[in-house]
Amino acid sequence: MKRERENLSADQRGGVGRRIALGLNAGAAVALAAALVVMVNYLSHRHYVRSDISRSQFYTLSDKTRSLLASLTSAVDVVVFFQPDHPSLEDVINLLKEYQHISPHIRVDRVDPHRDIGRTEALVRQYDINAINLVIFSSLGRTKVVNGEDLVEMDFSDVLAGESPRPSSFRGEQLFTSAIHSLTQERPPVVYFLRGHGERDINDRDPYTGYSAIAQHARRDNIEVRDLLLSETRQIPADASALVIPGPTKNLAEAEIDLIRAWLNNSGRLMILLDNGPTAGLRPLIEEWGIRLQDGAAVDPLRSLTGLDIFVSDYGIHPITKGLRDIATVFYLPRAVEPEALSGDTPQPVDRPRVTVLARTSPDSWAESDLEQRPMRFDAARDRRGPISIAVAAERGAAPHLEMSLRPSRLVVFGDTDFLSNGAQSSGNADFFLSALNWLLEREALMAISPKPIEEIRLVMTREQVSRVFWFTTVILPGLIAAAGAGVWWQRRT
Amino acid sequence: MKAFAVLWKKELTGYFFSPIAYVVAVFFLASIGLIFSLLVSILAEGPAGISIMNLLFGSPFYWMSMLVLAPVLTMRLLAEEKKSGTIETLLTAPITDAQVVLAKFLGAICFYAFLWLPTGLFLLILRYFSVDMAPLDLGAVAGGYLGALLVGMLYLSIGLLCSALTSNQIIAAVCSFAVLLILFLAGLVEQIARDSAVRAVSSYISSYVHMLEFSRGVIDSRPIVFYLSSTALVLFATVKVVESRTWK
Repeated sequence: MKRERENLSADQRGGVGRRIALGLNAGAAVALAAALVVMVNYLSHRHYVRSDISRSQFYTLSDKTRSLLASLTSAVDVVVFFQPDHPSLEDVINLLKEYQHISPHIRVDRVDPHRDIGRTEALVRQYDINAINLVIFSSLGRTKVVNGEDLVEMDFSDVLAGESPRPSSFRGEQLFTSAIHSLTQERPPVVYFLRGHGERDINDRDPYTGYSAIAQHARRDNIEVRDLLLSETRQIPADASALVIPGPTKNLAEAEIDLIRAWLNNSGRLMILLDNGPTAGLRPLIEEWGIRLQDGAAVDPLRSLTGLDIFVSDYGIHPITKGLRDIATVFYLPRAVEPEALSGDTPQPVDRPRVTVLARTSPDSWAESDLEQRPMRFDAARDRRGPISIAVAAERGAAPHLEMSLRPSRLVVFGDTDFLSNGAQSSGNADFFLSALNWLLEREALMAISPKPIEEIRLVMTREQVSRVFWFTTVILPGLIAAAGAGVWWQRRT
Repeated sequence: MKAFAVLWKKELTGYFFSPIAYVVAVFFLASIGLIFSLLVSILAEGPAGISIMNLLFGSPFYWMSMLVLAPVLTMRLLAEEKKSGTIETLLTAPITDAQVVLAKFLGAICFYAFLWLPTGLFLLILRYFSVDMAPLDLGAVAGGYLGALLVGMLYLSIGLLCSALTSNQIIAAVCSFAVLLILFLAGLVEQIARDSAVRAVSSYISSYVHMLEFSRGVIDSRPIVFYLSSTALVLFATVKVVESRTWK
């Protein structure tokens, strides 16, 4: 230190100047190198290669997703609204990262429903959601919500053997890509709800009878929902992708029914919801489609909480019910709606509608003709034994053996209106309705992207083996190194 | 070149005679071993759809030991030579300053890689006990080790730079621990930041995010370029600091 100071005073001016110059020189060199590194990293950020060398390729995107993402021109906002401990959260985040790697238009945001209270409230206001664990896609003012429960397919094969269901595959890419596709590539279909005959109202927020919640469900599935007053428009609008008649209580005018009939026969898509009681003049139209309306309400005391509701889990084989296998739907005194029995003698016309039962009650149920009866009892003379069909789908014009492909007409009839009201939104009912609506709109086909099988690792070990592994890895192995170190130290000391 | 090889060998063997290196090795192996045995006990309870490597490299134990390991392994490298005055001999030997720095760095990296060797036994244990299930994903294993090497390169080079800046080993270790901690935490800002630019930068430098990706078997050129280029920059700065001894 002293010598240094002496040196400094001996050659103070020149020495200090030289050191400053050298210091500046070195500083500039490092700064230049740093600038170079930043530039290299910037370029590498813009142009990169990425490959998945894992065997499962769990997050590797399909070509379909890649080309869809490459064609995006507008921003897609994705909000991952998940509890932090949800088992699918990590897969969702990682998968969306791969989406972001391909398209800069994908913007992902995470909201924790328990921690980010303010943002949760904003989300609820913006998208009117009433559940958590959702992935919300929005673009160009449209929204599509993917439910976290739909992301994983479960394997129930060992349930009878007493084991819990196992997650078997992850459908994230299929659902996310379909959501982005429907938001950015398609015009949202417009579904009209008929008004003017005492129908349920999609703007009615009444907590029991209103239909506002089910309309919101449809909007969240990127469907535009509008009212239709036929007496004003005098025609079914040209942009109508489907028409819903939600439980009219007063008769429709003959002219209105004619309008609807003509529209339906010309590749129209119609859903009718009819409670027990008057049919509002729709009976002939429905019967033309080979569907019979029966009077009397289906009851099933064994599958009911209040005696008026009825839990249904027996679904027909149809695209609409494919996703409902293990979900129960709840109906409220539904009327019987069933395919007309075919008589073998009369030849059937080629374009006869194909009618499929969507849901039926259990064999323990019956169609009660006297609803005033308390308690309700099966009366063999007047009542009809179940199972009773309470919802059907019919299709006409898509004859598989015909060469030409016509756009088929489709009709879905539900024997209940209460099951979609605001007071009944707690089960699979909305799923059933949306699935039926999507079938009418021919949106049932999701992008054909195969789900990724979930590989599970299981070690077959006894408790003793586990503890042996602990001793080996945590104590013995480091202990050996410590012993080696002690040996070296001892040798050097001696 | 021969002088470089001699120096590198001397640095590497130096670790095997250094008590502190053994302490670090025992600490590192014990913490990795603890994570592994925890993992084994989870997997023995029932099947889990988690990736082993992901759990290993995402664990706080792993990061805690990395943040301590690098400063301790590098703290004496240049600081001790400065303090004892041997640096003058070293720098007047027929070898460039860059070669000195590089030899010390390579010695540290090789010892670091050596620390990882026993973890190969863990893979054998997993393989032995995982019956009728998917065998180990070797892509994820290779990715995990590659990531560990890259992160180790940057962390050790930062430790070396701090060691060059001072002649006190403790100060060197504390400085490099502080720098590494800041670097590591800057990477975690990604999880909480709202601004998208901040998040982009944070995730670009986040070792934590990188390790999770590598240990899934995803090999991306960006983190590789980031670690190689920033390691080179830090080593370059180290050389400049070493050179500053001659500014008289």
